[in-house]
Amino acid sequence: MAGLPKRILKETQRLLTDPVQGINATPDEQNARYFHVVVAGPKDSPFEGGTFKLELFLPEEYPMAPPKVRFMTKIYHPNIDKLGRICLDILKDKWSPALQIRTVLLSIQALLSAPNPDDPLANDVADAWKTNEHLAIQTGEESFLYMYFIFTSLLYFTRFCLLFNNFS
Amino acid sequence: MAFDSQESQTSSVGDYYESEEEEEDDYKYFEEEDLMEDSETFSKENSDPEWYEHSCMPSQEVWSIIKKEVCQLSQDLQVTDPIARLLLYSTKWDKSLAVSKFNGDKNQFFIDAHIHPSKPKRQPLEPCTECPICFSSDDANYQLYCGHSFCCDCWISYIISKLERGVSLGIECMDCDVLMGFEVIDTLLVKRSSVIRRYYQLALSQIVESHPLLRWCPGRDCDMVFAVKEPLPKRIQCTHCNLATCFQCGEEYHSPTDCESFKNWLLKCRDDSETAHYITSNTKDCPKCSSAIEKNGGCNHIRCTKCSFDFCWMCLSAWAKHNNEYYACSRYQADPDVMKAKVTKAREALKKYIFYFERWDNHHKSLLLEEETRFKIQTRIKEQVSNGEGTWIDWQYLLDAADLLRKCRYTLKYTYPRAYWMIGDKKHLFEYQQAQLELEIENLSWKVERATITDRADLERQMAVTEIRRVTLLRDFKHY
Repeated sequence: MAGLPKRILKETQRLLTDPVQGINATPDEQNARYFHVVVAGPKDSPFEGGTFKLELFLPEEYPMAPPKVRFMTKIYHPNIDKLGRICLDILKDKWSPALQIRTVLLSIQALLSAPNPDDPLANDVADAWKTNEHLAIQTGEESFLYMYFIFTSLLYFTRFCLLFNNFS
Repeated sequence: MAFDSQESQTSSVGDYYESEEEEEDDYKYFEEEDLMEDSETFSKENSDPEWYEHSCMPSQEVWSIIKKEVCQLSQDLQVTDPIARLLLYSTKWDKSLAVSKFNGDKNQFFIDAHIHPSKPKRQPLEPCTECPICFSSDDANYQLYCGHSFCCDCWISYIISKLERGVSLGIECMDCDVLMGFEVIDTLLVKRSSVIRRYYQLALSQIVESHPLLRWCPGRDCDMVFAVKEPLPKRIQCTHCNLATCFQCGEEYHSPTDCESFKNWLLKCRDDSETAHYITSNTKDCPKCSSAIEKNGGCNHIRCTKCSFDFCWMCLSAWAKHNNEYYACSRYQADPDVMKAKVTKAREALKKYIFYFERWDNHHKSLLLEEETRFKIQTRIKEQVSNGEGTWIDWQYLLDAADLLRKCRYTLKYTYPRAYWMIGDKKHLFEYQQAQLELEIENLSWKVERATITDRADLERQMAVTEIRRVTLLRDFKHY
């Protein structure tokens, strides 16, 4: 590989010296284009308290092409599938070279707190999300308990996955 | 004009008068020509319902059309050419829409069109500062109207990456959604002629595809573009590859069928013409559940594998009826079974389709044979001329007849999809006219094959009649 572009060097440097809250990205020792990322579950979301491992890779064309990002930790989310692939516009056609690793990771963190069930990758989860929310609005008084049930079950599920991941 | 007046000043008085007279003559002449053209347009449209004003040009000439449209708009709205071009791009080249939007909420229009209204700065190339994309300060920066400034190298590789994804006119700023006009591209890519060529190539194809009055010729490897004054589902013919297509849908020319019916028809033919053929000729429907059954051997006692209904293959009624009287169905019975009605409906629909398809296909094949006929006629003419029967000129009418025959058969072929989808009283009239046309075509075909030099008058009469039938049908059953 040719020498690392100045852009990547600077970005890496800044990520290390001035990290974003709740996000930790460190370059791989062997490959400076490969990053190990850990994102904390955002506050007031079903994922609060969890930590999620991701991998991020900067392709040869970066920054003209978007980085490739994937969840390594299993997660129950309508826009993220079983293999950890993420459905996010800025990782595809809405990518702009003015975006950075930092902004991409922030967007992913935002996606965790605000799922978008209308543009799903994992259809079953999106359907559940939609129908459950619908039910929740309909049943008024009950809804609080219902939502609580869903959220706690989600949380336990993700925690379980985390544990499982840590063991394996 | 300026040159003319200078010349007249220096020339003598007599000359001056002469030239003025000449000018007047020219004027009259133009006026007459204009009138003639108008009346010609009128009569042509009246006499030939297929006549459609269109021009066919090499794709590069599209630029002059676009340039003209942009100039007009920029003059009308008092904006620069690049802005006018982007406005037209956002309204899909609809000038009146652009003008009305401009006169309405101008700011909103600019936002919708992704244009930054500020005028381009004199020197968009700035001295070297650190580029926020590559963090290097080796190259001069270029600032777009929106104020975002990046180094030229980054802009160029960004444009290239966009071109690779097939985007050209819609290339936005790297940091916001302001569009980059041609003049920006020209400045940035001034040293990269191959990239600039690629950009304009893509832009051209995007323009033609989005412009309502332009269409690519769908012919293979054909680089021609059609321009019309009004988008209609009518015939356009390429002057390069000779292909006749419908302007609106780009499929083969299909008058008197409308675009949607024709598309449905093609879809239907592609889907199940052969299968349907086989089903009608080899199967019967189960009288209970209407699934198609093929009898490939054995006795006439059939049990449907789907609904387990036992029935007789001959009379299609329940096998139980045959219990005591084996082959009761050999006797003719006048009252039809009630169950049959439902079954026959599906089969009837299939039969109807097969009916129209066979005729469509038959005329399609005849059309292909007409090519051969024309060739045969040519050899026949040669023979006749060498035998001393008339001159080559005397026989030309036969070739005209062959051309007309092909034209009529073409129309006839495309009447069948129309008839298939037609319902109601109009269908009777349509089918009547269709039958008349078919009759005349067959007469013409017969006469063309057997014509001798003395038959010319008869053949020409037949040609006239056939053409009248064709034109009447097309005029009475306009599809747009």
